Amino acid sequence: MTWHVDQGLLSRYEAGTLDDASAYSIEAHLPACPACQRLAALASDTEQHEAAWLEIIDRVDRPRPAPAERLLGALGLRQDTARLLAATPALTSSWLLAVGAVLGFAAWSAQLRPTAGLAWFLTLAPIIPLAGIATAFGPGVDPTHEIGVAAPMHGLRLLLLRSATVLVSSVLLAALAATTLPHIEWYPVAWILPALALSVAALALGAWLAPPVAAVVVGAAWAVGVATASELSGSRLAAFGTTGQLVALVVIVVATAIVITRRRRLEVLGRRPPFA
Amino acid sequence: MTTTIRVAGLTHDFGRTRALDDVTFDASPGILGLLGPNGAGKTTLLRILATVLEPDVGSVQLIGRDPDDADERTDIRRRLGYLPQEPGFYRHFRTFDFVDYVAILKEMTDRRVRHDEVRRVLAMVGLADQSRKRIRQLSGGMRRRVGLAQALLGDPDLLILDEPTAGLDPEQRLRFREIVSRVGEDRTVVLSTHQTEDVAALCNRIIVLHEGRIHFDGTAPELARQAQGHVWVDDVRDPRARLSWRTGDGLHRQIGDPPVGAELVAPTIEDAYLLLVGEGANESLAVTP
Repeated sequence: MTWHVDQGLLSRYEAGTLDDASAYSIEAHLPACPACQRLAALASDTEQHEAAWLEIIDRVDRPRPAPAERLLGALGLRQDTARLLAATPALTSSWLLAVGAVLGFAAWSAQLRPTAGLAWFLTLAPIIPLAGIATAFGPGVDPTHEIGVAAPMHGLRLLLLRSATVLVSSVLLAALAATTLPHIEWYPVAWILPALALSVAALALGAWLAPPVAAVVVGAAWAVGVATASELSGSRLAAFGTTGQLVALVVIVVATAIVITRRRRLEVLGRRPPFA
Repeated sequence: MTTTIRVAGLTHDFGRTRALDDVTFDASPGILGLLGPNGAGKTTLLRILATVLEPDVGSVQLIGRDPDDADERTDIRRRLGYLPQEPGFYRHFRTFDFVDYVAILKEMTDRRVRHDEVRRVLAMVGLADQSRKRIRQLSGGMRRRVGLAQALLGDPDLLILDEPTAGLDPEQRLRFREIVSRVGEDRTVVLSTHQTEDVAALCNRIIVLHEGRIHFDGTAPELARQAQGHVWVDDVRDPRARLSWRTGDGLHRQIGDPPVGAELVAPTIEDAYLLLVGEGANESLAVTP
């Protein structure tokens, strides 16, 4: 046998770009020629091997992601989304611990004095995601804010991703704490809509005020609202009744509309005085 | 040659301070240096060029697109690299992870391609072996290089660097110049600095900015020529000189209106710069841009 398969032909054969006649020649030749069989085996594996090898190099070479990122990845999020979220200051372990402590304390106090404790929990639980959102986005709390503004990813997307994550983690923690609350009617879940309402309201106000300031304003308005409702009606749980839930719903709708229509303001830096 | 930057009549105020006053210029591929003292408006101008600030008045065109239009602005940002004056970092992040994070913001969704790109830019700035270190463990000079690396992600057509050599020692500055001059060969780089040596070594074009206005726009030799006949040396300090300092060889170098018979010397870029922005610069000797 004088004719053997060469690398060039083999590559084209693998790629499927070889003409029928030559392909037939290769197929007829291979069963009878061990040398060319070895060559063919090598060629077909090389590309897959290379891809697999590059993948291994990448996994070994890059640093191991932080626990928060790995958790988010385990929840099914893509690596890039997980990394975006892991950069949210409000997802650090210290923040989550603080949140857990506050909610745990509030729920525990409800055991001692049911109505008062429940009212405390319901007032505090919606404020927790507020604090998280205030620290999730914006020049005051995100050191990479300016670099992020100059990047093509839309500010609204980053804001919503992070806010949603903060909201979800806060709601989960609060729900966990709420299982220990006294079952006074349906009040143990009466904090959910207000939590959403406060969060979206803070995002909406963030179009005009710095996020931390917006969060403080919304939090203060909430505290005043709860106290006023309690005073006027004589019941500590007044703000969390049906009327209160409806108000929360309205706030959610209005604030969402504001966030969407004002999203352009997230694309540039606000007006700031120049550096000295 | 394509005009990458087209800026006309840019004016911007912060409250009662006028940061930019009727700034107009064009730029093509190459390295443009913005020279000027603190408060001259350099950062404001660079922020406008980096699309993070919208000017009060004036028109801007970047890579043939208008940053005022949302879609075109996103398009510009895809081809833009920006190093702010005070780049912030997530200090607890590892170097690799931080640059990867910025790459995600730059919409590089394919993980393998993105990681290769992160490795490429880290190698470009000489930080390949620091990729596992946490940013808080890096020295100031290394952090600056991380900032430069993230700006180089995606091989941008337009690179905006705000005081990139601040706080770097001479060796680091030299290394930085190597990287930038390589990048600037077929891209447009705009960098701001106080250091006249940086612009002398790097920039084929210099704009001197002072109190929001352009006081000079041209090449480095042209800038030096602005001080021709206004620099002289003497044994003693001349009280009529605008600026005067004692040089290492014991003589006094002076800038201003030389007296008759003064020993004139060849001017440097620094002399011209001081003449343009130093004390009393806005009085006589206004030099033509």
